[in-house]
Amino acid sequence: MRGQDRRGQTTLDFAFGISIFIAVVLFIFLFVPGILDPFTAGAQEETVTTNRVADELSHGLLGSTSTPKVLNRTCTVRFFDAANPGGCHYYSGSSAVTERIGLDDRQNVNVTLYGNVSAAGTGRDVLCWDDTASTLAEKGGGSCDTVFVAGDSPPTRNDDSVTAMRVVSLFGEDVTMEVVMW
Amino acid sequence: MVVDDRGQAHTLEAVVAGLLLLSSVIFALQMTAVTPLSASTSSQHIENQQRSVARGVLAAAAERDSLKSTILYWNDTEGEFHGVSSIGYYTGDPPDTTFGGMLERTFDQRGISYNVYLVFETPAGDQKRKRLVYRGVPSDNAVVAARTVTLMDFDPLYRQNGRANHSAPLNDSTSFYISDIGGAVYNVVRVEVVAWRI
Repeated sequence: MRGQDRRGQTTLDFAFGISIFIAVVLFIFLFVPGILDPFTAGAQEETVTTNRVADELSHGLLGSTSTPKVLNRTCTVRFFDAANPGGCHYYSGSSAVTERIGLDDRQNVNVTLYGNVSAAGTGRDVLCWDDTASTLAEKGGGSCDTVFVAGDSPPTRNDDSVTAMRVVSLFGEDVTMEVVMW
Repeated sequence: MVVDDRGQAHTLEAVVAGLLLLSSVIFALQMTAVTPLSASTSSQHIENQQRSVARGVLAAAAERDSLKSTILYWNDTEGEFHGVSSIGYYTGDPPDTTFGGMLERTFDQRGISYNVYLVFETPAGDQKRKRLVYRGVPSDNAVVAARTVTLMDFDPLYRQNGRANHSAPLNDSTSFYISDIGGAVYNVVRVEVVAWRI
């Protein structure tokens, strides 16, 4: 032991201590965002947009603003056919669903109508319109002319997809409209 | 012992600092209990959806004229709703009307519980809130949607099979739970749906 250097600490000691400290700090920094995760919405833009789209579709675009949530059958079929709006209120007859509901191209959206119109059907089937019988049918159950699905299918492995759900009246039936954005 | 005589071990300091950080995290965890029912932006989104869904059910039922037939789904001789238990309101299945079917499809099949109240004015001028469907006390995250229905003097009561009994207008009813307070208008009823996740 030299006279000038009598600290009770070795270099090894120091390395050991500082690595414990750094490990704890790293752990905290990785752990804390995980605690807060449930409180932060992942896709904030989509959360708002999907709500707006669902409201617009159920209040005005497919029906009339004087009777919200009651869809006009003709307009709904034309919308899912991507036909020219004519007297209906959606924006265009473009094949891209984003243009029909007035969104940017870069946004991904899927609009689907679910329901149960057959006595035997399960609670949730994709609906379609049968031209010949002039009635609502379940996809896969009856003959379909217009399937009530617009847009690509949502990805199954994506944390950031947001769904808005509305119950609307279509052709006297209560129908669930789901708008998914991702 | 001239320049550098600190007898301090950095290891001990690091351990103490680490313990401090860890204990503050544990303290923060104990402060906030994160449950599926905790308020957050995502649960706000779900509440918005449920409120819109409840409004949609009421709109769809009104379109089919089924809100009125559910209010008038009344057994005048027994003085209670058709097929109801002795409590006087539905607790398990909703009433066997179109509106009841919509409630079942929309809420029961999605794991959402709901109460349905009928709010109307009494002859004394007070508001009365009658339970139609009651599933218990709602949670903190419950939402409510309401729609108003006007009853006329000559609206018929409905039979158990859901058909109108035109020989039994409201005027002649002896046991109906709502009183006549107007002229040609019998009364105005607000149908309230309270829905919450279970």
